[in-house]
Amino acid sequence: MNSALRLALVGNPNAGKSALFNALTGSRQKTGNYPGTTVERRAGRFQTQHGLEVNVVDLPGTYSLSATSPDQVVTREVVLGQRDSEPLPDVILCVVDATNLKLHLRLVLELKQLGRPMLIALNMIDLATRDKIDIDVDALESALGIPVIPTVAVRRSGVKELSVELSNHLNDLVEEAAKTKPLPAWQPQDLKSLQKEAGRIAKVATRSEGIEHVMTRRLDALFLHKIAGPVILFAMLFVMFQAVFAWAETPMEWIDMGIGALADWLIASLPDNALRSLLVDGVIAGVGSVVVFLPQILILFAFILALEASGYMARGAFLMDRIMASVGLNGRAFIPLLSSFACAIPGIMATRTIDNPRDRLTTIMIAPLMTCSARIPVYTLLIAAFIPNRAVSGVFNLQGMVLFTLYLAGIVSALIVAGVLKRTVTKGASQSLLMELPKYQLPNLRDLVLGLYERVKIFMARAGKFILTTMIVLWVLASYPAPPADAVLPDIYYSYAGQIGRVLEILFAPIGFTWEIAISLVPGMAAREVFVGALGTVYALSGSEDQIATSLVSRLQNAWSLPTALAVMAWYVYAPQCLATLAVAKRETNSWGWMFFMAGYLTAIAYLAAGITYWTATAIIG
Amino acid sequence: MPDISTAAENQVTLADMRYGEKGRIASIASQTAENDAGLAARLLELGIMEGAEIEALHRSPFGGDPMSVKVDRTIIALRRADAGTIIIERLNGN
Repeated sequence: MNSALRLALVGNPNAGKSALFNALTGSRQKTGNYPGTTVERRAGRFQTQHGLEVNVVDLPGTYSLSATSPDQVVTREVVLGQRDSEPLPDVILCVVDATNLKLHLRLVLELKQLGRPMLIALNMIDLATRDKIDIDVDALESALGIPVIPTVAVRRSGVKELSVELSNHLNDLVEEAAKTKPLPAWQPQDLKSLQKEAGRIAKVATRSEGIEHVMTRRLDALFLHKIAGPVILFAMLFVMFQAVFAWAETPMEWIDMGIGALADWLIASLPDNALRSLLVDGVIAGVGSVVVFLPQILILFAFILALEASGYMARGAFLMDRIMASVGLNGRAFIPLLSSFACAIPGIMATRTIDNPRDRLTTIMIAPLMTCSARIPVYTLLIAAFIPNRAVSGVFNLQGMVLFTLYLAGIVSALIVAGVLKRTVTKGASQSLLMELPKYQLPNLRDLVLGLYERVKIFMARAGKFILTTMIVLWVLASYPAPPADAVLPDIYYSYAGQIGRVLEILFAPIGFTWEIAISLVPGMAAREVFVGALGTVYALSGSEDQIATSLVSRLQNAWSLPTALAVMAWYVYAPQCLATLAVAKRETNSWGWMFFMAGYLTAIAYLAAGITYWTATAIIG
Repeated sequence: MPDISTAAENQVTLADMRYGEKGRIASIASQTAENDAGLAARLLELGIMEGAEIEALHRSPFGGDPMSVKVDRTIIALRRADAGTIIIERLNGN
């Protein structure tokens, strides 16, 4: 009757559920949100050995069905069939960590009470074997009354076996699913007695308790060490930001050359008219100057994904807790804030793991102060143009150090703002830190690649739609009306964009911004990196053909003073102009007021910081 | 909240345990002034309940707070104020 079976993956956080999902579905997966929420919905499909089509949904990890955070509520609602958008799954596949049977079996028992067709993936069985844990799968099966399939999600072989086993079981379960009666009303269960029962079953099914995860103990002794711990954390972040610069350089040059070649080819093959100008000066100059930063974004995300997958991220949260506590937050805020270095949007969404509404609001408010990857294009451009590329003390690169300082300025500001907010508008007791420190694992390449692929898709889609549209609008504004015949200034000065820029210039002149900068800030509202594209368009259009060929870097060197460049960098530490961030802040806080508060306070600080930088630099340089 | 002074000789709070010390959870004070009401439920979610075996592990380099502990096979980070509500019966030598 139904074309495809609906399978839901459920499990504790850190059970290896997402790795299993990736292994089953490969690249045939889609991510989106559950309607009316910002909880990420991951779904995909695969075919079993028997040719059965299966639709899989990877539900947010949860320790218990009675958990209260928004994403865990989604998990409960889906397995209970209470979400309108999501049909009741035919079969639940509960993913269990074989090295932590007792805790993970509790969720199995909770799910079992629902009386739905169910399977268990006894995951990370290889790690259990390595720790000399010996589990009697048959005994576990008969104690639970649920089929158990040992799996190693990170290895292809383990997944093939799972696929075969799933195939064998699913046919029976399809019939069972069709017969299952509607769910009885769900009631939270007594976790204590379930925990005891889980402990009893774990004992029955475990032939040998094994030894503890030695690697985790040794690595914790290092990473949480009094001196080594903080040093390693700081060094890791420093290396991460240096890598973003050093490793990305060559691929960025390639992309740059490719874009240049494309523009040259268009200039050579099209007649000199408005269409060619739109393509070369609008589309290619604009989108190209954003796409060129793809390598840096990839490297940053690769670091964040690897840190998360390895289990180190939670140790970072542990080390940062005291600092977070001093401004009234807890270490958990470290993870959303670190994600915000990639992009404030997933960062703000990740605050959902913070249960306390006031702590969550504070974290949302400061997330945009973390230097997101969209600001990298702005920083890279300005640093390349104005900061000499030379070594400092033989080891450090001056450009890298300036970048690091800009990041640091954002972090310090975020802590100050959080401290102020917690003493004023979000006043009240904060929630203390309580979180699992998962065992260390080598990040799996496939999971990293899939994660990166997902991010690249999002980035390219943004460059494709959002940025392309604004670039075309900007090109129109910058190209019309045509300059008078006796024009002495660049063409753009006479255009609509020039007129808007000249009005804005009145506001921005005191902090050293030129009218070209003022114009570029307007489309920069769409996304921060568009500022660079807009500068590209503005300066490309304000010169002759051969000047367009001159790179934006040398163009800026001639056009801006050093204090102006520094002021723009300071502006971008706070820069509130990202409509997507404001939109997600509105959605997550469910309040226009908080959204406007965020935009307002960021703009005020940005203006002040840029001003102070400009005035100070001017006074020093003279 | 249980009165620690009258507790048996081998009882301490989790916050007072040193690295590597092991014990069994005797009781958990449901709520104190410093802790939020949901604490007991959140502890239970992670498997921290009466009767569970627990081992004190690392302390944060910054003021010794938070600390990490091991319950069964799960390593958990928690703050000292919360650890202070958990009464442990020491296990000697084994």
